[in-house]
Amino acid sequence: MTRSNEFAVIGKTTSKTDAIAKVTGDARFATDIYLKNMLWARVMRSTVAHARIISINTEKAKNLDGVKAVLTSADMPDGKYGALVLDMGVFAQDKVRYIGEAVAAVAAVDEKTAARAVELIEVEYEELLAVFDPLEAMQPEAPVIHDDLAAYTTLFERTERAMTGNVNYQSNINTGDIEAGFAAADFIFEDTYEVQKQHPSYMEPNSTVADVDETGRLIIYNTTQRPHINQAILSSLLGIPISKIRVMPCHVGGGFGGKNRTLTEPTAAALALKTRQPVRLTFSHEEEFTSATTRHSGVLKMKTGVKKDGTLIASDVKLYYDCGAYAPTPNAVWLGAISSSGAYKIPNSRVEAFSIYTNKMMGGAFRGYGAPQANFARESQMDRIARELNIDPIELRLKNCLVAGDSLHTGQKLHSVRVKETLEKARDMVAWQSPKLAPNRALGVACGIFACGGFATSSIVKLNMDGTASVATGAMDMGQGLRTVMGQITAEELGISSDDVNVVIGDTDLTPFDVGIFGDRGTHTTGLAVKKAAEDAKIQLLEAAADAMEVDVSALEIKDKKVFDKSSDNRFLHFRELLGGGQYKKGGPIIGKASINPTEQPFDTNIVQGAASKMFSTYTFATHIVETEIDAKTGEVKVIKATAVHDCGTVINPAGLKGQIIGGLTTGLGYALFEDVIIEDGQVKNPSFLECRMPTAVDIPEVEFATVDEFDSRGPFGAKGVGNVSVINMAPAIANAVDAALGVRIKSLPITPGKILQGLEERAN
Amino acid sequence: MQPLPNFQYLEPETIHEAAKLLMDSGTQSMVISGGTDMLPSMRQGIFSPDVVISLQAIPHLRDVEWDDTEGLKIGPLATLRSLETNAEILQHFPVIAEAAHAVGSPQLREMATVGGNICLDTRCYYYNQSENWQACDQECLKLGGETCKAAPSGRAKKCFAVFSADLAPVLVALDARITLLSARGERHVDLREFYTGDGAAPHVKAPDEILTSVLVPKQMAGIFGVYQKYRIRNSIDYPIAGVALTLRLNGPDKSAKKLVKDVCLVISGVASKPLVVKKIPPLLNGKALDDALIEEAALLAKKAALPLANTGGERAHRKQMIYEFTKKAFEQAINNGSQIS
Repeated sequence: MTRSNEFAVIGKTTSKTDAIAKVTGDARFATDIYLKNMLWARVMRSTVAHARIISINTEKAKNLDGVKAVLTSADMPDGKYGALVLDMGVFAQDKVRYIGEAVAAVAAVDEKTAARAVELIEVEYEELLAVFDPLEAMQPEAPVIHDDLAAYTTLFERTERAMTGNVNYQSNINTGDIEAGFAAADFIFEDTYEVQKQHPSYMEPNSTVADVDETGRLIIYNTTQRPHINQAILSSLLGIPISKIRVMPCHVGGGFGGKNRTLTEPTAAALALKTRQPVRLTFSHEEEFTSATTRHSGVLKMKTGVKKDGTLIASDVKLYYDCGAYAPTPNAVWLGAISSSGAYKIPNSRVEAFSIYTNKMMGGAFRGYGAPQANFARESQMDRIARELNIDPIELRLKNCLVAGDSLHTGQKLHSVRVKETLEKARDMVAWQSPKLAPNRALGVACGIFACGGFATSSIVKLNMDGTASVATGAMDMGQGLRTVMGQITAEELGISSDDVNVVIGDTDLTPFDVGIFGDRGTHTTGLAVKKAAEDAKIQLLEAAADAMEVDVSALEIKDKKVFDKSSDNRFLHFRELLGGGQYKKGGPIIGKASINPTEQPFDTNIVQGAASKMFSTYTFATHIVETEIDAKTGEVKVIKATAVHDCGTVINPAGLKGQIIGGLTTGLGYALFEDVIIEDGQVKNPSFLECRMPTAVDIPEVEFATVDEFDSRGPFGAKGVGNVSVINMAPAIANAVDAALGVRIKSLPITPGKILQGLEERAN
Repeated sequence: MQPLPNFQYLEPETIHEAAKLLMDSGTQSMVISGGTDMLPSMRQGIFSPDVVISLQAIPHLRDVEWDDTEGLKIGPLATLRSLETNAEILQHFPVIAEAAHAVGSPQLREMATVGGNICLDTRCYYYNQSENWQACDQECLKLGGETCKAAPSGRAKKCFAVFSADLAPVLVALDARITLLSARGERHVDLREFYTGDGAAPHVKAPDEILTSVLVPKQMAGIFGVYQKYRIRNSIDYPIAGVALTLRLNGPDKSAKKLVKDVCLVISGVASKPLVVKKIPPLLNGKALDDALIEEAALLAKKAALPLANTGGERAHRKQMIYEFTKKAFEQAINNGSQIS
């Protein structure tokens, strides 16, 4: 059911509110901030993968001309932080656990002096055995990376396994009867897949300018997806109340999940508080590639039982996600566990998903969050099943896909599911007959599911005296267009135009709490809070009008910034008359507010364990088909065209949707074909954009996209998300196309020419 | 990226003044032309010159001209972008335009110069890193360490950094000659002899010498040439396998029996220099190309390529690309056979 025709603003392309500022260079980013007497900070980092710190000597650095402060963990309160497992200090405490870990930091009068001072810091290490492979790290004899893991504060219920050795988080799903399921299967497929580390590759490095104002308040200018969480973490790490901290995020030069972290803020803040001068800390691009976070690499074991007719009947999945030396977002394994059944109904399902410490840079949030890994395994194996059972790959998917009313293998009942329609529409768009088109040309298909929305958010909508409005939310725009979409939602609800809405985001002094932008929750969840806040404001306005016009509220309607008496066409009051130049006749200013805090447990707790993220209210779905040309002589894969069909509910802004889909599938393309953070003995071998390649605009194939009609009753005006699900299908679709063209099944990412040539050679022998 | 270190920047107005400044300022000085390769290395601390001498203010160094007696003269400061569209180049040596076009991205080619491409430093995962990165492990041989970390044995005393220019292999295949000038005098060097094959010291230019001119001899005009490049992204990357081929096919028009003359095959991105595959000319000169000969030539090229895991891509695949490109290059030569003599 599409209702977009009924909308005035929703479903129409509105140009991004920040588009011109970004094109002209007027948009202000954190690195554009220069304050009087500003100091430059640099971080001193570990050169070893695993070691006990015997001593740190900062004397020479402190004595260098121009150096204003040097900090180590000894100078900091004793706290640790993290999203679910609080395991990391601002600086290494007692031990270093990966090459690139922060050990100390310097603030100096200029960047070069700070860099020189860092070189003067002497650290004595007692090196320990390191472990780099997640499966080795799970062995009982493996070196233990966090000796006090069992004592760490965690924000979820831990399984016993997740308190011992190097496993810091575990999610389990057990639904149906797994043994009976496999016993009833006619065929059993068992495969192991491997996935690499992929860096979010935002162009703008992590950056904070920390200032202490004349009242002693800490002011943070930064680039972030989660200002309110930054504020809370700073409060707890530095031991100062939230009222003394203001986070004022600047424009974000790309985030993609990677800025859903708190990396530069505590260091810059501690140095500013110490020196009482503004301090700027900007990561070098090398630091981004050694000391920020990547998509989790891992090993995925998937065993699936199938009936002769292709019906999926049992699934046993083990996910081993390498989270690196700290676990800022271990629940990626929970998202992986959910996604590992694909968009399919599998009555008997067992998933064990582990987040495992190794002595490497951290795994963290990145667009797709836990799902691209699991979906690569599920959708690769689906094609293998289709081929061996001689069923068309799309038919096999249609046969098993979820429909509204079905329950996911977590026990959660789904109300908004149009994956079937995405498959059918994509099939029609490419005029699918069979995957193989010519000797070296083939189509590859994959579909997928992503948990959408949830977590706490809130919003305030204030009406101005001229009938325009301001909407405030603590959520962030990292380029995805949240500002524009929140403006459209507010405008639609109030019956005004987008141009009449001022959107205030991020600033913790001006906006109410939002947990951060991730997991397809901006449009869906923050959007819902904004809609409800606008609705609250509208009700207040109507009540004022009812009073003034001496009619019942139910007799009124809103159009063109006017409140009409429905019974009489020419009886109306303009908003500005009601808002009376700020001279309220009765009551106060009109300020609508609303919050969303989904706390209900949608999963069956008899089925799931370790579900740290309880509150996914809905799911997004998509099907992608790639047309590829594969050179059997050179192993090169060229994606000629990608067709993407999405179930994202109501489309709020068509141009924004297009950007999200093309951007997401480009990230998926890089993941599929060449992006790889290569780590050798704990050291990143290619810490630069030059050697750790992501696709450029020129590398993007032709993209055709469409949506299917869906109205999600739980989203604002029926909308769901799109940002994450657009990533997860490209790798399996391309792997499936390679197999269709050459009969070579690549089970590890990236799908490189060398692997294809090797596969061809093995097939020939 | 680290901040650029401090250095003195000089802009002499004549080439002799530049040569004198270079000699006077000793080994801690460097010449800069486009800077596209040099500045990132300076930021990483790989080069730390006290004095940087720019050639930008010296007239005529970016000129490209055809001389009826000598051939094509290319100034060292000619940008790669300018080569792509130069009428003389398109007329006499279109393969130079083709190779120039294959470098980097349009923005890089606007800055990058012929001189910089010829004098390009070799590259390696273990060499092109910051000082912080280097501090995590034993030192790279090229930076003063004991052994080469890229070598499979880990004990080699030879540096295996890779030469990864696109234009240089084509100029080698065209028998280009360069002029090196210093306060001590001027000398001419065949480009083929310019490269040493030692990753640590890839060419014979003395620190006080400046590359002042490139000459592609007149006799080479009209020779068939082709350059094939493999890179991971076609939008921007360095070559990790490249093949430059020049040859003439002599014989009547439309004859399948044209005979090979003056063949030269140079591979790039798979060794520490643009590598001339020396066994190709004795194999092919004077013979008519057929599938078996091309196959043999491609296998020779593949055998000559010794890529290591010290740059992007995969070793076996890069070797395979040399093989495929060699075959493709000869096939193109045959297809163009009616137009050349």
